[in-house]
Amino acid sequence: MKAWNLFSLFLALVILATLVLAVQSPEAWQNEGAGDAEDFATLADGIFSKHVLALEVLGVLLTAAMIGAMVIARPLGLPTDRELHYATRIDDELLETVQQVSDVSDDLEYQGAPTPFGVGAGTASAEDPAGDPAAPGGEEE
Amino acid sequence: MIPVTAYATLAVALFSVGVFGLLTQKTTLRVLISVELIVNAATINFVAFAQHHGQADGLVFALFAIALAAAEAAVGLALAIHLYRHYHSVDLTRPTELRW
Repeated sequence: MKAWNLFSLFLALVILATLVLAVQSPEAWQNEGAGDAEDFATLADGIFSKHVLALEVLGVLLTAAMIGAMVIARPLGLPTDRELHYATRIDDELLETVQQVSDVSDDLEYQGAPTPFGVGAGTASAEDPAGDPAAPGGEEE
Repeated sequence: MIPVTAYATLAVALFSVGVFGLLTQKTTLRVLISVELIVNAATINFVAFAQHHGQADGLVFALFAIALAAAEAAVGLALAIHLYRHYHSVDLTRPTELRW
């Protein structure tokens, strides 16, 4: 890359020398005018009358460039912070719902009623292997 | 009164610096800055010669050049963002294939 840098420096110096020689030569300044280019009215008149087509094309080009820049720089489909936030909220709500179902199931299990996870057997223990007498089928006569 | 040759020499110097930066820099942002230097050098030339010849056409084209430079910078920065998202680097020597 050093050779490339040296070549680039040489090229830039050649361009600089050529243009400086062109600028300093007296032939470049032969057609010196005496008009007034500082008037804003003249400038506006030039933009909106003589170069109005270029102005309109420039407007369309700028619009296309902005739209193109937005399309190029749009996200790649990765989840944004907003989506991650709502995903977390949904998970919290789901967790809360699962907890509520679990609490209801525990209550039903305590009462000996059949639960979504099976017949209540939570009250069975070593002291009472038959379980709660109130439970269906818990005591044999 | 500043002579027009001074403006032209300044434009030439800016143009040379911009060309050197465009050819040697590997970072996306530095290349974009070099391009902006080249465009601004041309804009200074437009204004200087408009004043020298006493015509407003050069000023009109200078305004157009400024607007075009802004559009080009916007598209260039969007490309730099897109490039970084794929390669996680702003080094212009990383993307070596047209498709990935």
